[in-house]
Amino acid sequence: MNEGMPARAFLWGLLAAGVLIVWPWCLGWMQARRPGWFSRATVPTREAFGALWRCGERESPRVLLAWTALAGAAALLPLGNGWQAADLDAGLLWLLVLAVVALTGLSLRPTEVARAAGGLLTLTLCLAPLVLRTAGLHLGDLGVAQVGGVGNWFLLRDPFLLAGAAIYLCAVAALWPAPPSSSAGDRDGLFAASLRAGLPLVLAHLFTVAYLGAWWAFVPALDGLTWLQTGLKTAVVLGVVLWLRRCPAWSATAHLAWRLPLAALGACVGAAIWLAATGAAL
Amino acid sequence: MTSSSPDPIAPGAAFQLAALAAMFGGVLAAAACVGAWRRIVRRRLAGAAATTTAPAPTAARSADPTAPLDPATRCRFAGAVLLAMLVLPTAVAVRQLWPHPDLGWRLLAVWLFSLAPSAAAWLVLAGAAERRRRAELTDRREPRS
Repeated sequence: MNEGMPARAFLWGLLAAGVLIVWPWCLGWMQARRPGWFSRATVPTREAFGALWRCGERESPRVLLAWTALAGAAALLPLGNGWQAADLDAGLLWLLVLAVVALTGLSLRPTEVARAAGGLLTLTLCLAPLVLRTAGLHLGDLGVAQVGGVGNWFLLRDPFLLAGAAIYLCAVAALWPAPPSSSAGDRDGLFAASLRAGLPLVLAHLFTVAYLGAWWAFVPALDGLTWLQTGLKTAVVLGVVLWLRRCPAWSATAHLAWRLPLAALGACVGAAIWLAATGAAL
Repeated sequence: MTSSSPDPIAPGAAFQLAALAAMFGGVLAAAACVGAWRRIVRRRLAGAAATTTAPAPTAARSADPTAPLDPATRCRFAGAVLLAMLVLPTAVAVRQLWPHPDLGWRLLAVWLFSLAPSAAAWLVLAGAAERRRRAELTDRREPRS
């Protein structure tokens, strides 16, 4: 803990909120240049985002709370060793709690709530083996444990972690928020659009920290510019999620009912058995 | 050694909770700035004639210049002040003073010193807005007479 930590956390919160506000415009810009990438991923166009900025509907307190939770989760994810708002001992637990609050802001329709519950269960089961390996919920430990090049990344530590990573990506693709439905009473607004666009970004960043070596490069010789490494990897993960989104067989919402959670449970149990059998440590 | 000093619950927990609170303070501050900016953009687009060229945070939004200050605006301003002037200094004070026995009194002093300039600014802006409203009312009444 160093001096000025609350001030730094305040600035990180500002930065994370600013990124989330601007992110829908970035997605709209990408969609304008590559519309095929977003054939099944609904994002607001730049014109629609501009209209939301100028005359969007008043945000409901539920959406504002969910957006605040998502921005908090984004600020807690590290961009480098210690490059985060707060270095919490139970950072992963905080992150999952904030993700639950953020998901409640999307929609309260029963089908959407069930989808969110299935997705969250799947993500938690995919992250559980990593908690076993690092023996804690500290986000920084996830990154520190993967130092030493691509061979040390959790993605390639054992086959069950690889399966868990694939299931995680499928769950993120299936969780891609649907556009608001006027028939269901959903209201659209700037913060609601930011929430829908920002959720896949935060989940992709979490995947980068958990499975893709966090801020470390492919080879130790290229370690440095940690924020750039993390940003590039997160962009690649988002690209994979968008590609999965275009494949209904992998990203159908119905998978979140029981297929993906069951598969994640199997991967979690398998990873635990592998860890116990091989005695693998950090 | 002092028997009255409280035992720290967990030395790191206070730091982490202070950082967490400051982080959410930053997020809410950004949301407030975005909301204020959108309001300005909407007013410019709507081209409302009743609004003044330099709207102060305490400026009444109703068309009647003799109406009292808008309660919603007052609440928003008070909330922004509380957020900016209390959360960060409190977090810093707790982090530096824990577990000082006089932490409570020192926090009170921090709050008073933090709120004093904001209260002064509020009074000045409210007075300026009131004077502007009275001038507008006088201008509107004069053509009738």
